[in-house]
Amino acid sequence: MRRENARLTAARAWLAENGLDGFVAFNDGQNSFLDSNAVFVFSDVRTLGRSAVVVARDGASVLIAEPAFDAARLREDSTTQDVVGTDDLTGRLDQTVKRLGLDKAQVATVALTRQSRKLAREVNAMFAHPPRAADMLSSELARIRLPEELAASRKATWIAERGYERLLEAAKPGVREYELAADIYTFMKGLGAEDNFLLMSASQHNLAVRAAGGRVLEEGDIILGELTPCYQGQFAQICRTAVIGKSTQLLHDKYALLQEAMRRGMDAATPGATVKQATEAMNSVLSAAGYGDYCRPPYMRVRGHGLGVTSSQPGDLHDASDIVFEEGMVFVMHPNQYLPETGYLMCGEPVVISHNGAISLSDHDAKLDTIAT
Amino acid sequence: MLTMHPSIMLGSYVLDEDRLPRDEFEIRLAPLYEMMKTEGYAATLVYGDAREHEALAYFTNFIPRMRWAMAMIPAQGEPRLLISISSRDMPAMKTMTGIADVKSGWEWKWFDEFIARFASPAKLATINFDMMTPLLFGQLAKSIAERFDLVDVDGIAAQARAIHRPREIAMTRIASGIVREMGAEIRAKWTDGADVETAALAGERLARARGAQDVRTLVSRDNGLTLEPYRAQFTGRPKTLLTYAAVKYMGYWAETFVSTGGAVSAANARLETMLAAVKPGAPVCALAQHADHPTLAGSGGHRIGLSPIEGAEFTQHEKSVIETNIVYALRAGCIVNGVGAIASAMVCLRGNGMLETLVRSEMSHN
Repeated sequence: MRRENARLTAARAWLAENGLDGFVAFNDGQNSFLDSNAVFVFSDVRTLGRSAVVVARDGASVLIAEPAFDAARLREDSTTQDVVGTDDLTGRLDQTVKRLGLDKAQVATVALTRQSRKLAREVNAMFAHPPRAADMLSSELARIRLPEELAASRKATWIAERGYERLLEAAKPGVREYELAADIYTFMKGLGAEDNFLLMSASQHNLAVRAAGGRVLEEGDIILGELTPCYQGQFAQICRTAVIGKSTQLLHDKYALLQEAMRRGMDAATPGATVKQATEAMNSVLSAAGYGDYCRPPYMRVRGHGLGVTSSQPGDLHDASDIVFEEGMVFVMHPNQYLPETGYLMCGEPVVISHNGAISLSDHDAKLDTIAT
Repeated sequence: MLTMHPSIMLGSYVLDEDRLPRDEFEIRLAPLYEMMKTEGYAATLVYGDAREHEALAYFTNFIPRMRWAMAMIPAQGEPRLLISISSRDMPAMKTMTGIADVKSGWEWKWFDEFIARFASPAKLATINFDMMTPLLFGQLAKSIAERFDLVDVDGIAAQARAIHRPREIAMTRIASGIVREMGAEIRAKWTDGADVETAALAGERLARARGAQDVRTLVSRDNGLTLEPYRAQFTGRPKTLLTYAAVKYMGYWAETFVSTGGAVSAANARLETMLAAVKPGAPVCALAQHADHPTLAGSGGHRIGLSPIEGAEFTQHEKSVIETNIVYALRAGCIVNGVGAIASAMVCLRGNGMLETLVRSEMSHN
């Protein structure tokens, strides 16, 4: 029996409120761990190629996806009523809109302006007038995680923590970064991570975290890890720092600043509070320690961000964002920071907003780890 | 083959100037400079994103791991690379290209400052702007307003890359070696009794440990009739194995298939017939007849290099012909008694008439 997709129910209510016959949500096959994938939100599947979901106010929902050979998988996994596998997305889309009897003047598009101009041009050619764009609809409707989505986020976090344990076991002088990344990436994939935004790099003095390169690990290296597995469409990210060999008291002292910033940020992230307030709470710790000038790029990026592919909300955590936290939002909070004495350090957890602040989904929050040589 | 696009490309993307030195890019860029001089273009803008970046990578070596990047190459003066990523990440980005002037695309002033170099009205040549999002194009159009004409030169960019250069073939040869090992590992794990996903994951692990920048796999759960991406099921073991594997090494892709079972001989025979037809000037549409497997969608192959699918698929409607010094990925497939198999080979017809096989699929009856 096909699973119920609660987003489709909410989408139909949105259509009724806006007096529309239906909408078409698009994805061109790219996946971003920061963005909402509108096709995933309304079908619960990620596609190999270009795809669209047609949602009608009367209850019909159809996933149309390239390539045709992927249709069997999509029929098993999609929560839409119907699935069409094709090698001609726009041709089958036009047929589907007609078959469902939708008035094209009353059909909106979702995320079309975030796909390629080529696809947008082909789709717009189907309409007499440019359709209404509701680009943020999927991200808005999915901004609060459903119970099953939260459970998947917890599983993704569990996978990330196991991946980090594996990193601590496998990292040693003489290993190349990409060899270590290959090990922990495939290890997490074996635990169920269908995707992974994995950044992992090392240096005696890091400027930032980056994707693994050919550098050979050395004693005294500080390994930075941003482990971001995706489980059933839910990304979770942990940010970790580990030293090969002995760490110094200075490094522990500076790392404690990030841990304190994390605590302050979590306390401030209550329902009704703004992203700006949580960001300022984190920055205040670093500013008080004399690092106020470093609370900006290129010394950090943001203090956290939403996690795709469901919803990008609450967006980037920075001190100009007035977005308001809501109970049930899931995102990563990470006061990662470059400090002149130590280089870049990482400390972060996936969190869910509860009535009294952010709760970490991790079993063990970040600490400065050491790897014996 | 279309595969699941990952949220980020892993692996080392640092420019290896021993393998791809500065003069290689001077040679690659020469046709663009000639075009700008002849046609009076003030600059050429080359766009690429995480999924498709072959032109951008060809001219700059830069490959966006996520989002997009745009090389802005003036007819005179130093080029600039704009990358959709934070200024925090610029030091790492600079290691991936020979272009010295690398800026964050999140600060649009860098685009405005670049085009302010030119007196308007002027013409700007564009490459792959159809891949850009309407949102980004709108921002760009606002900047250039009525002052510049944009001229699509995708065709000229394609012409500049009409054949694979010797260094490209050399890199593809290395990628082919990795995917060959990967295929052997998948087959070995399958022979040991692993399920299809465990076997594919073992192959992926090997390829990544060899320095592959990207690895893609598709597996069959229904005796080679269809292919599907990773689903973390780790259950079931069909009677026969069919797996697709692709790796990218220093920007260049290689692919192979691993097949077992009763349809292997027939698929192999088709591939042999296909390879015998690979001659200079031979129409590629003739290869389509051997692609009798639903996942191949009637295509006997395509070019392969900086993209896993370069240019047109070799369907019965394709008009192009086989040329020398181009790496092709060819596939023949069939279904026999309800079991599917695909045989594949990456080949390059050299100038002396020799057909070099870079990698051939792993095939066995059991």
